[in-house]
Amino acid sequence: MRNEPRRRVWVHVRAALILAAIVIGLLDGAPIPPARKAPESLRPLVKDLGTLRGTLMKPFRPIGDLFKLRQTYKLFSSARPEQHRMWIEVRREGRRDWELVYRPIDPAHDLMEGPIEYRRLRGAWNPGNRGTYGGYGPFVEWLAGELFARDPDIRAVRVRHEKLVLRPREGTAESTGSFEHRKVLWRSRWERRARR
Amino acid sequence: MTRQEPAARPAEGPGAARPATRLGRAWRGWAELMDRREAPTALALTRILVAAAVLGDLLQAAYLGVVGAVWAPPPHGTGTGAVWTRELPFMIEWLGPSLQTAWVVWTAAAVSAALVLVGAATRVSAVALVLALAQLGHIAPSGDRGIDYFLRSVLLVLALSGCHARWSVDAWLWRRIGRPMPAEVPAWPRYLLFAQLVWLYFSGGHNKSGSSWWPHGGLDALPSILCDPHFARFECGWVAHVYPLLQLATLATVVFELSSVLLPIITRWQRAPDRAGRIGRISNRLRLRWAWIGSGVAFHLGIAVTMRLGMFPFGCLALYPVLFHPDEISRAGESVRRRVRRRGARAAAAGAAMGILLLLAATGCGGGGAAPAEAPEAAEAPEARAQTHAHEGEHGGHGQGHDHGACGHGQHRFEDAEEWARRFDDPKREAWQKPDEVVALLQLEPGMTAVDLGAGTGYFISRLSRAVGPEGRVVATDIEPDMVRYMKERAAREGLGNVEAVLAPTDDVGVPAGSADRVLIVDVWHHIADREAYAGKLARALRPGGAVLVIDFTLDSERGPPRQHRLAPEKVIAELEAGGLDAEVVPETLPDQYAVRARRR
Repeated sequence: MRNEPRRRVWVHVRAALILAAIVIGLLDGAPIPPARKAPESLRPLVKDLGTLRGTLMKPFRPIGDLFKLRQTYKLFSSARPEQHRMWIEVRREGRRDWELVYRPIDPAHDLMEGPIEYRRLRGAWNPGNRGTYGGYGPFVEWLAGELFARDPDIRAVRVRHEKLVLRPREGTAESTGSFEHRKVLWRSRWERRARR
Repeated sequence: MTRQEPAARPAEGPGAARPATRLGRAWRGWAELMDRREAPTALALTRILVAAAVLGDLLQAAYLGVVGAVWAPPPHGTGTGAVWTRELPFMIEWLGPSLQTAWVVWTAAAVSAALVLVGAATRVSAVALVLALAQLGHIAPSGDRGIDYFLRSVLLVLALSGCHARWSVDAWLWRRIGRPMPAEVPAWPRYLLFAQLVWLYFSGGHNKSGSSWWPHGGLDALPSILCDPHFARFECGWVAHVYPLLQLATLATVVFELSSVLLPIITRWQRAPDRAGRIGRISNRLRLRWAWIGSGVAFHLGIAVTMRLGMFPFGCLALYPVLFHPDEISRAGESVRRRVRRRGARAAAAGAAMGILLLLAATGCGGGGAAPAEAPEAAEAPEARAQTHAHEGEHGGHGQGHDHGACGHGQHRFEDAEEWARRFDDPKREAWQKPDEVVALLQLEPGMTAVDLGAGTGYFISRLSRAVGPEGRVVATDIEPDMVRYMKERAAREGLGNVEAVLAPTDDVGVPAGSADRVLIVDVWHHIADREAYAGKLARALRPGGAVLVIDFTLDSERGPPRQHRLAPEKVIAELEAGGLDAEVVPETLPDQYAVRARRR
């Protein structure tokens, strides 16, 4: 072996780098809860741990930002019985009632199902525990634009979320009769914005 | 013999001296583990599957016409990160917040994913893909999912790995210019990806904060998700009928996720059963590793069937090849190929028979059509043919199952061992093969471990068995399962208790490192594709003081493979020395063959 001494050093350097990468990953993904969620007695400790992690991770933050990496994964961390079902409705020219055009798992109302589904996967409209996300407003604007462009008869688009209570034991998702996160977009406003 | 993870190379391992402290020994063990090398199949398969998952997701967005809607800044789309943040993504800074920028970044990601998929400029493409996906994530932060974070980490590790050494444009190009990629690549990226997958599950498990995942909360998390119209694929009614089963599945999910941290240990126990303690043996008996992997596959396929979670299940499953040692993947591939070949042969034979019948019916007379006997060869896929070998007539019958290097002229398979035994074990062979002299050249002593590499029907095993005595061991390897089956039966029939027949991969010796005193390679060396790399593996398989004996046909003998496939002894010596062995021609009296002996340096 021509470069045996150098290779031996490299073996150790590489082993150290891999170990460092694992330790940094574990540090990043360590389950340190937000201080507000911790029991009162543990709050100072949790806060200190969070600060310590922030300090230790600081030198690696640029790499994490560049490649957008993190090691915390949540796979359906909670499954509450209170959920939503989005309704997309349109109001046509000369009508005062709202016509349902899309609702998840509703074969009778599945307009633009594919694109809307993909938008959910990309976090556009499914509400979380603390309401809708930042992309909800732009999603509704995009949706309204698509519908107005498809059908000149549509005067307004309304998006809202029906509140449900899931009862899996009975195999039902019961409506509470109320709706949240309601947004309405009118064609006149959309056209004004498009002209700008 | 149970195959094991190859042990670290003692001579080349980091630090030959044994460290005194426990920490020192642990560090050396870690460094040795990270220094292991293996075939690149697991990493290459992972590269292909991960890139396919990412590319599929990107193309789906384009097909649905939502690229701009997802990644363009408002008002075109939900790319709020392009306008509402203090630190803008660098692509937005360079090209501005526009619909065109979204398309440019999407195109960069899709092209990079396609290049990673086919393995073209793989390292650069993989880094470019991670950067492009990260930019998409920065532009539309709410659209960046857990699976996106996960796959970016995976792609970065793949970029640093030798995943392009197999099934890639890169490997093809390097082979074309005469510098084939190494047969083995560093194993640490696979270990790291294994750990990444384990962490994905464990993190998912310990982040399950909702009580519905736990017995005290009624275990109704999965039933609830399957009733949630935003995620479920079907109406909720069916859930009531299988509610208890779904409760069980909820518990199983949590157990599966949290137990993932045990998977590396369980895997280690299964691959090195001699080092497994009592718990390890119980784990092996219960096949916990397979139970865990099977649960994982079922878990993801179940998700794909019953929930609408996009690429998540496929993105996770794409990483499952790293849970397997490349040997296991090679063996599974061989098995699948063989089955396909057999099925193909049957289908072709049936097709030919049907053709004859139709022809007979059409013409009202006999004759014509393809002969059914030719159908199996006709149905044989080119790739399957590349795995076959052996010469017409007088090869000498000692096949290892390789093609003839890069040339590949062999057209026969060694499936029917009984048929081949008639040729290989022909008593006339003794006159020119001189098996007693060959075994004498090995310089075997009682108690030694002798490996007969590419043993075929086991022509040498009885002589080798006698030479090493009851204290010794003979490991007879072949890549053809039917040959291995035949040798096992032969050893039992002839009462050779110290002979073990082992199915070996095409690109590896098939025995643990540092386990062989002698390796016999008769009429096989010229079949091996990357002989220099293989010689390195031979060197690692040898114990200190161990030796390899290569017997092959001379360039001018009457017997043997076509002349263009023969190797001069000088070439064999050079190849063995390239692998770290000291080789020399050994005097013998064989009429058609030469002998080269190589020892570990």
